[in-house]
Amino acid sequence: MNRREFVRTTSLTAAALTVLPEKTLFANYAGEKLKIAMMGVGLRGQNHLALILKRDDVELVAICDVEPRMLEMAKAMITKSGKPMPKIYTGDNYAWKKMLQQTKDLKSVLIATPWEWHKPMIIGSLEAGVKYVATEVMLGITLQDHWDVVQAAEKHDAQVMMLENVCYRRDVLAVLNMVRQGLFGEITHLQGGYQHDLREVKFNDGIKPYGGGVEFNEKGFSEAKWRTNHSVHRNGDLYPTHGIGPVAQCININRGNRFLKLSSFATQSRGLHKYIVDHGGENHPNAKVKFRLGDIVTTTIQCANGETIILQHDTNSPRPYSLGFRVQGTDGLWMDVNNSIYVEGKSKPHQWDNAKEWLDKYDHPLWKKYGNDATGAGHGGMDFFVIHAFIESAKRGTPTPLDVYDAAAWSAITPLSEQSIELGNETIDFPDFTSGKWMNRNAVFALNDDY
Amino acid sequence: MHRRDIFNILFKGSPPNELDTAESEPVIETPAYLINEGTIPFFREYKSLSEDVEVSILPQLINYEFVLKLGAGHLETPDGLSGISLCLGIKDAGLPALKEITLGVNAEGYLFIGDLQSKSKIHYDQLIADLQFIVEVKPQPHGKSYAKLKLVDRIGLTLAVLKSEQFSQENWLGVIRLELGQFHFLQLEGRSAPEGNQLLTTNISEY
Ligand SMILES: NC(=O)c1ccc[n+]([C@@H]2O[C@H](COP(=O)([O-])OP(=O)(O)OC[C@H]3O[C@@H](n4cnc5c(N)ncnc54)[C@H](O)[C@@H]3O)[C@@H](O)[C@H]2O)c1
Repeated sequence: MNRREFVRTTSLTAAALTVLPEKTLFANYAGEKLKIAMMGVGLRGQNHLALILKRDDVELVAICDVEPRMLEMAKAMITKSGKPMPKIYTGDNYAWKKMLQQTKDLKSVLIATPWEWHKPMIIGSLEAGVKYVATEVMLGITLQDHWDVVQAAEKHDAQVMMLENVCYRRDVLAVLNMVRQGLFGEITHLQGGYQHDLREVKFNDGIKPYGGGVEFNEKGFSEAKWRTNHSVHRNGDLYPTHGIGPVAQCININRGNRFLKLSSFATQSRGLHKYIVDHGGENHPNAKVKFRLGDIVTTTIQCANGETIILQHDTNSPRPYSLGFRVQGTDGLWMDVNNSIYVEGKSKPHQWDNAKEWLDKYDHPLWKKYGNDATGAGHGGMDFFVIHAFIESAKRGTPTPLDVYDAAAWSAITPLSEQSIELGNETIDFPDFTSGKWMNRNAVFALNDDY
Repeated sequence: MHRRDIFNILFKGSPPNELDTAESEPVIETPAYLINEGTIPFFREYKSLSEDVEVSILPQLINYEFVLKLGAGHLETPDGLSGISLCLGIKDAGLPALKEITLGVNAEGYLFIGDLQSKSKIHYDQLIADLQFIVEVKPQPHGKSYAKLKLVDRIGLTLAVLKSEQFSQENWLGVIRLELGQFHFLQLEGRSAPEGNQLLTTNISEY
C-alpha cells in the first residue's frame, strides 16, 4: 500500500499514529545523539518524523510548521512515540528563522516544506551555522537559486543533501550493482521520469489530502495548497529528481561525467482542466484557470561521456504509477515497465528474462543488511535508507553520499527545461555546478552496506 | 546613550534579537511576457514592401513571440552570389530611436543578425535555389529578446541557424525595409492585444 492509499483508507490522525514502527533502531545508542530540527511536518515531513522517532541516535529538538492541523498530527506522533516533545515554532512563515536562532548547538536540519521554501530555508540554516542540511526534493525554483545554494554550501563548508529516496529503491540499487559489475557492458542510454497521476494530489476538498474536490491554493490541503500553483504558472519538467537520481548514479554524474545539454518538449495542457470540469462542473470557478504545464513533458539530455537520457514528467493524466526506468548498455538492458532484463550471452537470444531473478541475485548489500528495518518505511522502504545515510554522515562528520552538486544538477533540470520550452525547444547548455571538479571526483554512493 | 538605544538605532527600532523578516516571501507566478491569454492571432502576408506605406512590426506584436517569414532565394547574379539583407526596427518620428536590426545572408554565404555571423558557410548551390528565411523572436525577461534566424530550403530542410540575444524586444518595433535582394512573399505571424482596431492605426501596406 502506498502513502496515498494508506492515508486515504485511514483517518488522518490514525494514519499518522499507525505509521510509527514497532521496533527502535540503534536502541541504547551510547554515542552523542545527533540534534536535529525539522522545517515542515506536512505529510512528507511526517514520514520522516516517523523514521526519526524510531531512532535512538537522534534527538529531535525543534519542529516548525505554519499549519495547526499538521502540527497536531506531528505532536500526536511524538507523544505516541514516548520521546520528549521538541520545542514547537509556528505563527508565521519565518518562524523557522527564530527556531534557527534560538536552538543551541543545532547540528542538522531536515526540510520538508513546499519547493519555494527550500532555498531560503537551506541558506538560512547554513548561515545559522548548521553543517548538515537535508532537504526534500527540489533545491530551488530558478537556476540562480541552485547556484545560490551550491555557493552557500561551499562558503560554509557544509553538507546539503537532497533526500532523493528513489536512488535507494531495491530494484534501482540492484541494477546499479549490475551496472557496476559490468553486466550491461558500457552504458549508453537511460530513461526515467515521474509518471504519476497526481490529479487527486493537485486537487482535493481542503480536508482530505487526496481528491474529493477540485480545490487548490488557499482552499486546498497539503500539496494542493502549493504544488498545483506550479502547474498554473510553469511549463517544464517540474519533478525530475526521482527519475534522474537513479540513472545519474549509473553513469557517475558529477564524478567523472556530467550533463552537457538538454532540450525539452511539452504537450498541450489538458488533464487538469478536464479534471476540474469532470469533477466540479464547468461553472466551478477553477474551470477558468489556465494551466501552463503541458500534460507530458519530455526532456532529452546529453552527457559528457556520450550517454543520452530521456526523462518524462507525466502527472496530469489517468495512468498507473511508473517511473519508467531503462538502463541500457552495449551488453544488455533493464526496463522496469515490463519488469524485464536482457543480458546478451546469458539471456535467451531476443527474449526478455523476468527481472526478478536478476534483481534477487544482485540485491544490493544495503538491502541485504537493512531490508527488515526498511520494509516498514514509506515508499517501499527506500525512505529509511535516505534518512539513514543523512544521519550516519552527520554523526560521523563525513560528506553525505548525495551532495549539493548532485542536488543542484538533478533539480536544475526544472528551470533548464522551462527555459528550453520557452525558447521554442532550444537545446540549452547545462551549467557545471562543480566548476570542473566533476573530472576528478570519485563515486561514493552506496559502495558498501554501511549507508 | 543607553546600549538599548544604540541597538534601537542600529536595528531600526526593534530590539536586536527580533528577527528581520522584511524579505519578501517566495511567489510563484507566470512572467508577464509569457501571458497571452485573451490575445488574438495575427497573420498578414505581403507581396511587396510598398514605398509610401511600409510594412512594420507592430507595437502589439512585440509583446509576444512572433515569426517573420521571407520567401526569397535565387541569390545568384552574373557576378556571383548577391546576398539578401532585411532591415527591421526602423523607427518613425515619435518612437524612441534604437539601433536598427539587419539580418539575412551575405554574399559569402553566411547568415547574419546585426554583427553576429554564422560559423558555417552555406553551399553556393543551396543559395541559388528557392529559399525561406524564418525569423522567430521571443520575448525574454527584462525586455530582452531571443531571435533565431533559420534558412530553410524548398523541401523544408533547415540549412543553417543563427541565434541572437543582442536586441531588446523594443528593437524589433518599426518599419521593415529590404536593403539588398528580392523576395516574393513576406509573412508576419504573432499575437496581438484584443483591441483589434489598434492594428489599423499603424502603417501596414496590405490587409
Ligand atoms: N521524496 C518523496 O518521495 C516525496 C514524497 C512527497 C513529498 N515530497 C516532497 O516533500 C516536500 C513537502 O511535501 P508534502 O507532501 O509534505 O507537502 P505538504 O503540503 O503536506 O507539507 C508541507 C508542509 O510545509 C509547511 N509549510 C509551508 N510553508 C512553511 C513555512 N514557511 N514554514 C514552515 N512550514 C511551512 C506546510 O504547512 C505543510 O505542513 C516537497 O518538496 C515534496 O516535493 C517528496
